[in-house]
Amino acid sequence: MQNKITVNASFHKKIKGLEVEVLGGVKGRLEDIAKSAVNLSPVDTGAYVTSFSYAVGGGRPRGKDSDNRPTATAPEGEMAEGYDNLMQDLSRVKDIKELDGIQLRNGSPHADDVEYGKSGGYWKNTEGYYVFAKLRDMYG
Amino acid sequence: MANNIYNTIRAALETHLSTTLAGTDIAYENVAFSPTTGTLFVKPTFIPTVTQPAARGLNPQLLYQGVFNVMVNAPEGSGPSLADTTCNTITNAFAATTDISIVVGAETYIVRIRYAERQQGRIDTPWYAVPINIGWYIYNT
Repeated sequence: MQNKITVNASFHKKIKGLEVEVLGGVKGRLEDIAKSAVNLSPVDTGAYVTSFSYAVGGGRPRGKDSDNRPTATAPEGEMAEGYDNLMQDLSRVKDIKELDGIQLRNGSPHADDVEYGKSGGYWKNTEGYYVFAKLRDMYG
Repeated sequence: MANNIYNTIRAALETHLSTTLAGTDIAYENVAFSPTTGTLFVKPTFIPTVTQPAARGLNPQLLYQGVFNVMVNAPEGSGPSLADTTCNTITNAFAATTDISIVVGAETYIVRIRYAERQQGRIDTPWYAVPINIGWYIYNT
């Protein structure tokens, strides 16, 4: 009766290779989500688009207020800053394999108003942009 | 049919909503609506997201997908139960795996529901607003 199985070294190498590929895929996916988040965001003052964070565990998320902030003269600069913020957060992740989870957040005080719109009040009377709803649908 | 597919999807979802909430005020997109203070109403928004080939090869079927957001607006200060009841009715009617069919001409189209997620409510004076995001998809040429 055969009571042992030999797994050769090439099998281990293939598994290792798959692991590297999967982890690279996860990182690429997080970068894609960051790009989409920034591209789907409206830019007026830039407070919203620069308030995204990739949160791993604790820590205070970014959150900028648009009150008394002038309209951005270069919206693409605000978008680039928003994307850079998220890439910085990702670069701080030492081992993506060890992550239990990672969360995309927007800590600006008017994040809900941007998402769902607002019928009046201190922010603009506008329709929602559904940024997180779209991301959830595209990547969820 | 591709050019009109979004009209068909919207019609299927909005008809299903109005049938589900018979008697409730519905504020359709780009239609004049004046809410009555103190009376619950819902506001649907049709949000297509991604269209992509469903298979490889020439002239493949396309997968259309997106979100149907329904904002349930209950009178502010009236407690959560009125909004809760309406939200439950909607999430039950649009539960994941629900098929919603609509007949256009000689063809029957089926819009499939992937998820129906109720989000946290918030005050949007004079309303207590609870969003529900409903994910849909359909295969079509």
